[in-house]
Amino acid sequence: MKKYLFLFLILFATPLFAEEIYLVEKPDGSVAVHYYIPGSNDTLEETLKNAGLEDLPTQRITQNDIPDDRKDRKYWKMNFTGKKIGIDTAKKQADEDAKAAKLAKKEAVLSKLKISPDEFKDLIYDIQK
Amino acid sequence: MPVKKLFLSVLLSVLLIPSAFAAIVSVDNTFVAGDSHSSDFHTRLNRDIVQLENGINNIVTTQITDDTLLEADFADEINPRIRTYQGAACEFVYTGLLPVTSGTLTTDTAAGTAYPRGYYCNKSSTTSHSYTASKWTYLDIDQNCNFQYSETTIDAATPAVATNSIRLARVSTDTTTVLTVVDLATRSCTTGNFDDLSSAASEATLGDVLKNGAPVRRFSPAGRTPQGHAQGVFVSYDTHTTFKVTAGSAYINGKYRAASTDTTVTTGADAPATGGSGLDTGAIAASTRYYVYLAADQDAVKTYSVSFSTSASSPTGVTNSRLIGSILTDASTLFTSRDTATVHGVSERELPGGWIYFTSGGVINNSFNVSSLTDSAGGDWTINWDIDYNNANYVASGNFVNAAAITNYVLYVKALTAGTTRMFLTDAAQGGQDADGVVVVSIGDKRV
Repeated sequence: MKKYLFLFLILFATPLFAEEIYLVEKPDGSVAVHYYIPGSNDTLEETLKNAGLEDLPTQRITQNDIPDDRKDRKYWKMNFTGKKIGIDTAKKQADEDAKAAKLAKKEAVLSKLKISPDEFKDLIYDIQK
Repeated sequence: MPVKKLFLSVLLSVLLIPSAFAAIVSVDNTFVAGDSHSSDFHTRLNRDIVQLENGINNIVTTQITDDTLLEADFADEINPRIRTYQGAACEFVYTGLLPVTSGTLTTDTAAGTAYPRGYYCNKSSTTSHSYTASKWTYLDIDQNCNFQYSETTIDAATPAVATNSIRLARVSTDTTTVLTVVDLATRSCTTGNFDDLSSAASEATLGDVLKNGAPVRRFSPAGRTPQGHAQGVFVSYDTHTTFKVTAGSAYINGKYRAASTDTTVTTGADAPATGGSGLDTGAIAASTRYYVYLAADQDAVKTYSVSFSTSASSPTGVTNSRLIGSILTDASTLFTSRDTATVHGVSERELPGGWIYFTSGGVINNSFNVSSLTDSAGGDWTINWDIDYNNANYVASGNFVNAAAITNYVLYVKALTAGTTRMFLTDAAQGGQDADGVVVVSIGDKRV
């Protein structure tokens, strides 16, 4: 029994010197993830200040709160319930809409010029040379 | 003298002589009543007298009864208590016996006590001597308590100690006066040759420990690697016209020297015989590398002086020197803080001041001197150095780690402060990107 208890503690105990993770909400709504190494000469507050993150909404999180996939890193936002890091879907949709509109505009121009995207690239390259 | 009276005198002498002498002295004949009238009485009496005289004049150990001699009975010359009290465990000078400077060539050597060859030697009054002009005279004292004088020309090699003597001092004269006196006496038996000190017989002596071993750098600029102990004594930039050698200790060509404070070195001339630090010869030059040496040419002192020179092998005019580092001058003959080097040490400028390897997921695989890492956005990372650099003028460099080949990413330093380095991983379109991991290292001036 003691052996299993010891194994349980080893598997699930927080490592003594692992970094502490803090989520900080920036004024524009995006978030920074701040990894603080305990035992450092700098205090947590000093490291936040040095990173330009002082006096901002901050909460401690765990590695589980951090999405594995960073493809939507640009749209991470702070949640105060459930998973601490969520995706700002509205912002993401707005960016995608803007990107789509830009692409449509580009294709419209190419269509008017009656050239392909590659031909357009070559043309620009020759002009820049 | 009537025979009867003489007989009684001899008899009383025999009876009154302490019985201690009885073991050796023995009377050949005994006298009986009427012996004074025998024909050989005078012969036997004279023989007994001679026996008594010989016994008195040839006292040996066996005539002394154990535990009858008291400490107070011993003269100072042979008294063990005096020797112990004066610390005479070696040949040394207990007190005095030092000449003084004088306005003429004649001066006095003070009274004092010494133990040349273990003999107790006490001079109860001063001793006057007239020294030869413009000479170095080495003063010794021998086991017969006589002063011995050995003259040399000034700056000549030190002569051997006189026979059965110990050295006391060196007297230096000019044309008319006794100018300086250097105390060369051993005045304590707790000092001694390091080669004689070891923790166990046949094992390494203290001298072995301090004389052997090369410093951190295998090859000095001279191609001649200094050997032996060196602790501290770093070459350190101070101002445009001075530099410092930090406090420390070193083995310098057979001499052991130490200083408890930093030594400031100017561009003036050195004076190693009197402990002056500076340039060995000529004037300071522009755009020049100078080699810095510790000098141990001053006698009977604990500290060293510092001489610097354009010579990479030895400074001019210094007998006992040890190369410790180098320093540069710029085009205006001013010392610069860059490229200051110490032969036996490595400065913080030459070592990584901090490094980190982290994944894009924020896991810090390993680090040195890092207090935090901030993921501000995709590819935007700020490293917080635990011990800051002295200023923002340090170097940071890194690379991204990725299992798959990526040809259009670049990791660059976006911003430097004394305490932080901000790195940005971007693609050609300046969009922040993530890779499997990032490695960053930094080097600069950082005092721990």
